[in-house]
Amino acid sequence: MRRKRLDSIGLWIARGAIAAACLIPFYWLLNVSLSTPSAIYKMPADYWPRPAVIDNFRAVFETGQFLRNILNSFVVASLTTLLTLALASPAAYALARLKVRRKGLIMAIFLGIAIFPAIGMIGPLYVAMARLSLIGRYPALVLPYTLMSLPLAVWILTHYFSTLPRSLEDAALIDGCTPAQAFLRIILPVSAPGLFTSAALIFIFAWNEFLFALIMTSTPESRTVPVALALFAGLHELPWGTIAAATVVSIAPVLLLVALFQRKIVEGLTAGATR
Amino acid sequence: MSGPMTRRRRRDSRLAVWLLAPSLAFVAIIGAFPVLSQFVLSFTHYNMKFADERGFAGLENFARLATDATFLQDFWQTVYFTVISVGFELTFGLAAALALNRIGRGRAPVSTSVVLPWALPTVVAATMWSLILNDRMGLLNSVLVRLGAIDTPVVWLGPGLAMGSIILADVWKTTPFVAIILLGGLKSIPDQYYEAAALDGASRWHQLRFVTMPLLRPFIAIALLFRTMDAFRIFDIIWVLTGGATKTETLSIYIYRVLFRYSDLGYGSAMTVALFLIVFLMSLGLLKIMKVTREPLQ
Repeated sequence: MRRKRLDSIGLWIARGAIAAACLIPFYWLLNVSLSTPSAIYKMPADYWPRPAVIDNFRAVFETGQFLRNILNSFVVASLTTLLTLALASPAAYALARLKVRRKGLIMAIFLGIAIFPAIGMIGPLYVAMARLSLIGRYPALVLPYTLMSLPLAVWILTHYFSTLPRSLEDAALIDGCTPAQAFLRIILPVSAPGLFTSAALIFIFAWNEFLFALIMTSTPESRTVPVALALFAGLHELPWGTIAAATVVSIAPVLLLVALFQRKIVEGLTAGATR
Repeated sequence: MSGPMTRRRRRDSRLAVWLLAPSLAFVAIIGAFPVLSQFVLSFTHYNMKFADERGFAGLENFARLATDATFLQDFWQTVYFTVISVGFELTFGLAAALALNRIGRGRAPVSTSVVLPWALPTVVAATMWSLILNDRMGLLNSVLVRLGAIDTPVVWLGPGLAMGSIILADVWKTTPFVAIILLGGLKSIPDQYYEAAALDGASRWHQLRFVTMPLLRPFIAIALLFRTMDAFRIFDIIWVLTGGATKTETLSIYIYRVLFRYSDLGYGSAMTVALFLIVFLMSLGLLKIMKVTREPLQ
């Protein structure tokens, strides 16, 4: 009995330490974002902001440019999520439930896309996008992001569809549905949890992507959040306070998604792994 | 005989074609072109700055790789980064997964804080770590100065220490991913196995050694596969923290330089193809190991 209690105390200390290790960098970021420039360049630094000021946040939104960057990220990530799900869910259904010839080859194509170094795809895609004068516009990011998130989405959804009971389609077919109708009217609605999980993962990927966003955007107005953050330093004299405040702002949507979907994200990733 | 059955099967496979067509067409249009053009370009001499000297190169670009000191140095730096960071990530990820398994109360806040580093943009994580590692204002030097462990601030992102600092930041960012995968593995092990082992008098250590670890092996292999593939192509965390300076340049950063600064499409493409082949062979190797570890379980 006593041994058990000691064990559980030890376990909770370990859990606390893990959570702390994950959170300390966030605390420090918040601290810097609320500090004055003179407090930021103090060595050794104070462990909490004295005095706490919101000037840095004001500076972030001064020009409205960063708001534009947030809007860009939001539009790109949303469009990527929708397009990827629209392409991946029928494909995953076919792979999970129907007789597909050359299934191995199709899986290999998706895997090949997932493995190919992104850095190598950028050049040719840049040339193509430039010919279509799409540089700095949403499709220049949405199309490559969809390509890169397709493999993971197909993988997770294939797993999800194959866990659904066959009797679902059988009942629909007996009721006179065509297989296509069974997929659209029965399978997709009951798969909402799996679709949400994939959607959250795709959205996070597209919100975070840096390399394509760096090259495919031409003007400060067309940048997404990660690029805006990384290039902040070039605009001013390393304004760490402003950078920290902008970083805090850019974390907010991810924080919201993770808080809402934390369980689903964990399930989605592990579903991907168990296949 | 089985008339309706075959008709249904044929209808099914026609439906399958329609369902797969959009995504395969998308991959063919958006994906095949850049991938194939890299392969083609890798056999040509093509520098955008000297566009009229364009021509067939055969294997010359690849031969150049073998004697390019920067490429070789960056290759070993990438290997070093991959081995050390993935090693730490697997160790810490396993420990975290064991600690978080069967968590009852407090599940939501603990797992939210664990998922968070993984869900962040890498650029954001790198910015956070540059605030910690910065020699003039960082948290790390502040703590060490206050503790009296150091007198003068240490330049964590300077020569000698930079790669270690980058690995620290990467381990912080991606250990959660490993922990999540392994947690899923732990959840898949039925309780009865542990009960049976306990009845046989197996200690906790023996349960871990002979029940948990063998059953977790496929999950460890998956985490290893994903992490190795990503670590070998690492770009953004290094880009933000050092820009590849002080012996922290990896292959992806070198390729970026060759393609976009020197505009050498031929040579850059050959490097891309080489990186692709390395990652491809590594994942084949890891998949083979996975198969071997999986077989005795089934």
